[in-house]
Amino acid sequence: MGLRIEVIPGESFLHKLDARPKFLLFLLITVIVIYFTDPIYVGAIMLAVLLLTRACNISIRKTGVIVKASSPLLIMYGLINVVLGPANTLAAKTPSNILFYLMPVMNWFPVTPQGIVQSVAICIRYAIVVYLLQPVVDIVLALVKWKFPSSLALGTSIGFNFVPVFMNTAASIMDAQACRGWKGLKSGNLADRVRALPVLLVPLFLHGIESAQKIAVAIEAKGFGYNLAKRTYSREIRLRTIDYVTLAVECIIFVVSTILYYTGYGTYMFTYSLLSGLRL
Amino acid sequence: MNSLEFDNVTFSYAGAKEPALKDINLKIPKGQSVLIAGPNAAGKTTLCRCMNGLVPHFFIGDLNGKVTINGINSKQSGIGQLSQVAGLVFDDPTSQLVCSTVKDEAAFGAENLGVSREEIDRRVTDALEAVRLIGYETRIPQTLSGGEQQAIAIASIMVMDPEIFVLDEPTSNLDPIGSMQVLSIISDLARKQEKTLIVVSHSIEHFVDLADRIIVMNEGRVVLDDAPKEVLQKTEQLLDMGLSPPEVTTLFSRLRAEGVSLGGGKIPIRLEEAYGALKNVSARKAPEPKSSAAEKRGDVVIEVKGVEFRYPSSDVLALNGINIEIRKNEFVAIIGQNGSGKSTLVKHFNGLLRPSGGTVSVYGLGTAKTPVWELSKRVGYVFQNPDLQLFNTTVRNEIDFSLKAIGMPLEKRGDVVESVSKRLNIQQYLDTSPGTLDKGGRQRVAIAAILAMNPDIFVIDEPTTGQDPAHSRQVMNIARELHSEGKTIVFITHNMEIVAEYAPRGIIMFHGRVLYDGPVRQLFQQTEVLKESFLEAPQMVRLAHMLRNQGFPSTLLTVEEMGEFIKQNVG
Repeated sequence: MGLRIEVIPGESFLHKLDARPKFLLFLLITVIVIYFTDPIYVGAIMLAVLLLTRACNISIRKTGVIVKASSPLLIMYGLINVVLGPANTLAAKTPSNILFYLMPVMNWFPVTPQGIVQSVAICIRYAIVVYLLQPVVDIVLALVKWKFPSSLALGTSIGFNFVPVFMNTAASIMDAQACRGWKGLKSGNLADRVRALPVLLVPLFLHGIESAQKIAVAIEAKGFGYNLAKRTYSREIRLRTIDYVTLAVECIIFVVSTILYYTGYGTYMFTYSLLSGLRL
Repeated sequence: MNSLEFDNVTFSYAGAKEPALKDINLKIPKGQSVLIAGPNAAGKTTLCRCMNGLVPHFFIGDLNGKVTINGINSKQSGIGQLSQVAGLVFDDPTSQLVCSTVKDEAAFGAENLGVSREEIDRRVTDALEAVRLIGYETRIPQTLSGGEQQAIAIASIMVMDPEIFVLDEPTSNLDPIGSMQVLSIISDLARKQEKTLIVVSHSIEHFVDLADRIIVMNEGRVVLDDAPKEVLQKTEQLLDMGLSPPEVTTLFSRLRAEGVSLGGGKIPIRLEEAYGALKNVSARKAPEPKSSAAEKRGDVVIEVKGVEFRYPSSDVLALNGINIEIRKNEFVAIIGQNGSGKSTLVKHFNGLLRPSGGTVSVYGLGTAKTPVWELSKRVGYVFQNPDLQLFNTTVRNEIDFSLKAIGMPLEKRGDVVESVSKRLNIQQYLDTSPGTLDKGGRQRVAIAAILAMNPDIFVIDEPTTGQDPAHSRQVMNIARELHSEGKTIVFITHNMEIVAEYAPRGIIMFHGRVLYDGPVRQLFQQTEVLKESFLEAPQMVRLAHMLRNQGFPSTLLTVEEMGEFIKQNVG
């Protein structure tokens, strides 16, 4: 129960696409969010992803649960980036950029507007990647039907199939430990939290090893690895016009993004200069 | 030709001190259906692993003697080749499914063997029909129920078309509906008699009808091997090993031992046979047995008022208008299928879940605002799988962890750890790693960690699922002892015999609602309610119902009660 990652079936054009353009779409979005470090650029990508979700008739509220669930991590990640992100480090070299210090007396950890802007972008990027984890279950399975080496494809497929199982196990472990008075990963100072990690990680790790062995036995017992050259595939794959069109659009987006990236667009400076323009 | 032959087989896993199998000699002819029973660590699973070459090719070790599978010497062949002859289904439904759709899963094995696409399609359709999963082709295996997952696992073996089906505890992790589903698939397979069928199970009652033969294993050896009727005559020997023969068999065996003769011949092994042996007797009139639950009315310790609950990712209410009171020193069983809301309900008792509507209070304390660690001093929750909790290097630290977490001072903790470990008989392991103990030992450590916090209420989540009968009883006997000391016990189970034996009060959950809440004695009289929620009363209750016209009270629950009644009022 609890958190679930799964493919939501439907009849939209995205659902009906061949697995290959779907898989490329996922790769494309992942690549371009890494290209860009500007909040407006990545915000636009986020919007596009959400629009695609709507186009598939999938509830954003429900699929967004996973982003919501990981929000404490997201906020922590964002805060760390405000201080330690590359933009902040660079900008802090010019004292006039510094807004304030996190530790004022010692003048440690300066915070700059550049750092904040980039951190916002990084947070959105993170949210997109986490959000995308959901359709990827279906998308990566494209590999199975593609000409990937079957062991690699199967490994990927098992990996993604077991993400929800694994997350449920993690949730059960946290419940089980809470029943022994464990206060969880959210209380105490940083040192307490680090010390609390083995409580979750040790059982999770052991359980992971046990499951991995069971899976290995199960696929071995079904003859996996027996004469790989002669292995057959029960699915037939064929690209249709819509798939070709999608592939073409994806290529165009990729080329344009790459050019933007290499010509220096899409960095946090874009929003930063807009903001400083407003202030002036 | 024999499907399987074991000639003087002894096997030790690499690094193990003791052999897992000792001097096994078996011949299993083609088309036979065999039930393998035995306590934990008897060697049943190792025997199964020998039947398709997993031993010695995947699980390496020292294999002496010869295993012949459909004429092939297992040592001289690989698992790939042997998997075409013998297919294995395992007990854990989730960790044997690796594909993204039901159809892909069913096809997976045949693809590995290089079967042509057209042939796979044909076989997949046949297999899905045989396991009644037509229409499920595009569903995701990991999101289906346990019973359905096990059905896919069987279908995927059918598609490989082996001569031998080996099913290692196929129903032990399933709820009653799932078990019924899988059992009927296995019955179909057995009835056709085309394939050799090997089933490992603790549930002898359910497999007695379809087995031609029962093999009982203990400590690596075959101790009994005969037709079901013959093997089950040795009832006491089976009970001593911690196995559960059918209740009617236990009843007649005990009566016979006490000199109560109910006709000669063999002891009945089926309900109908038991009825046949008793239908001509008439019982003297006797008062209906009383329920011990009714008279005790302690203070309310848990109060659930109008509770609704919805999981964040779901549209349906997992709990819908629940009202219950649990009183001090009650012993309550919560039953129902998976997904009926049992675990969701009990997780409200210690704040693991907070109601979306309504209130839950524990000793007057609202759970909505009280942290779990605070409530856990009052309500101890024993999880089904101890391995989700154990992470320390010694048993001592494991028990101490809970005490430290609730803020008990250091000087007190040592004594508590000592006394709790003595009580659960694990004091000799205090300085060893919990990981080195067997499952029963680890379960005791997990219980000790909860018991150390000295809660007044114990919630025990499925102590019987996936366990052998001896382990289930071990946990239930600890619960009974705690209850006799004044603790309140709430447990979840799928095992109706355990409910009848231990709990005076039962709650049936169905689709997020309470379908029945009252004495267990009356619970099993609610034929309609049981039918609606797909639950089956224990064999003894069903026997008592059949014998109503002979003057038997229909509210008899257990073998002991039935035995007592017959001794007092019959003959």
